Amino acid sequence: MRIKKSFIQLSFICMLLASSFIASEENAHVITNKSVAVASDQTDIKVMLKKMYLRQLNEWPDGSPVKVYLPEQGSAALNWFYEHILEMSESEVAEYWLKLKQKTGETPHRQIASSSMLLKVVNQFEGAWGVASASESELPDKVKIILSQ
Amino acid sequence: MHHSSLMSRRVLLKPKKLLVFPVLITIPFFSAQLAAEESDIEKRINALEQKMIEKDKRIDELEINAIGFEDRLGSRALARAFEASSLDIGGFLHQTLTYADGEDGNSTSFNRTVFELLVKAQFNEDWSAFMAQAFMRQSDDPFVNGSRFDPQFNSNSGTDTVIAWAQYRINDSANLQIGRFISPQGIINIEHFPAILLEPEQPQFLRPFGSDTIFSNFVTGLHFYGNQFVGNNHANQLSYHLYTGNAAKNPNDLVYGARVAYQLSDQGVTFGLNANGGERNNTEGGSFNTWGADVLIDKGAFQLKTEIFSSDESPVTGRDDRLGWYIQPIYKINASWTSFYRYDFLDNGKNEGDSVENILGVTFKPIQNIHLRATYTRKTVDENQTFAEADMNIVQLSGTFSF
Repeated sequence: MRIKKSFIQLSFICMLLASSFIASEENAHVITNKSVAVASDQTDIKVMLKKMYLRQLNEWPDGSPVKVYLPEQGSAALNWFYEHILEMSESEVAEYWLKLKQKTGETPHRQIASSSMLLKVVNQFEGAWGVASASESELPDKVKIILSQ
Repeated sequence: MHHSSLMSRRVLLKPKKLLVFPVLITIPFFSAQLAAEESDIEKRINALEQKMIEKDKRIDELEINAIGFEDRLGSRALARAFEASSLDIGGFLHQTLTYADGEDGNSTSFNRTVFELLVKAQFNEDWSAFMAQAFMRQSDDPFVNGSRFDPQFNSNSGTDTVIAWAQYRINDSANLQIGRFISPQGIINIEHFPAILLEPEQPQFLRPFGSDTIFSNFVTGLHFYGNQFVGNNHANQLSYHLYTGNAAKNPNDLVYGARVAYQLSDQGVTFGLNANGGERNNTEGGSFNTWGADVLIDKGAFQLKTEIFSSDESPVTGRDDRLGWYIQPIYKINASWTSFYRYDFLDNGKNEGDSVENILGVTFKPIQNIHLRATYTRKTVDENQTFAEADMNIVQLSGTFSF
């Protein structure tokens, strides 16, 4: 009986530890320059952002050009973007860009290692959007969040 | 005397008492004020310290970036474009080792070495150019260079401007290219480059490189194309192409073509319809019209490609209508390994005998830019007026190294 109780307690502790590990995966959000006007429907925004990333769609609904800025390879924010917005693995993304580069010379979007610099760049350029870590709570004046999860 | 000194002392003490009382009252007030000021100063110091920490963090990030640039550039000079907002350079090296086994003989050769340089220049948001220059050393089909029974490799060196177009982009729905471009027909012809292909020996109806077995792989002329997003959430994609120009082997006459494709994004299915026509090359003569269809299914680890092209040839002695088709299921084992099979049929309309290939292959990507492959092909060519039916076995190892 005592051993059974200890086992249950140990299992409970293990579950708590496991859940805290899972919960520690970082969230991120998609930010844009405030010059951009987008629909409020989250599904529409996700579909649109995916097409923009894949260079299938190069203009906002108002016709202004799109500029995309992403965090550095391997960052938690970029992994979040691949998983939740693109719904593609890293190898699928790499294969996609290899095909596009070979067929048309199009290259992947600019990646910025510094999170504070990424915010500044999106703040600077009209039509810009990027992916920032949710831990970046203080946004520049001309930046807004359009999608978070 | 004593009394007066006491009095004077009392008189002197009174003002001091009078002073002490207000001081005693105000001490707590001043203490509180001092404490408040100290607290305020402490807060300001903490805020300054916090800003200093953030500035240090940003400086660290900038220094890491600077170290990254330094590591990449060192003391080397930067290459600059004469006139372009951006210039991207890439390319690939492709090498094959082929064992060909016929009924009367066999041969092994490092039969193809291709180095291709790709350059993309962006002039501004609307204008761009893309070029692909190939430097090749390769053999003709050993079963053609030799015979269908006894393969023989040869070696031809040459260069080819595979692609060279300038583009004006109006918007996503309207783009115009002028120059040399890949004929926008089917699936694999558009993919074209060895770095992308699972099987660098393209389907029979696209061989040999730069030919027009059924339609011309490349055209020099004008190409208009675009795409629109339709359906729920605008998720599905409709793309269209129109082109005209000269085929590689016939600079005096025009060929033309069109393609429409519809992609059901959620289902991972793309349907394509193709049409092209024009004059055959000077050697063959005559005119032709071709129709084609293709389906691409891309769902998780499973992919299926299939294309069919059929031509209607004008009556020319020794030539009939042409038909080529293949079906290619693909299974992605994991991020690095892929396996595939292809059944490939060709009737080239020259009464040489229908040709069927069964290809089984596996590819490995140790890193995303390196594509290693091993394929086995069992090929059968029907008898014709001159030759009996022939069976061939081909094993090929190849590698494509992209940069």
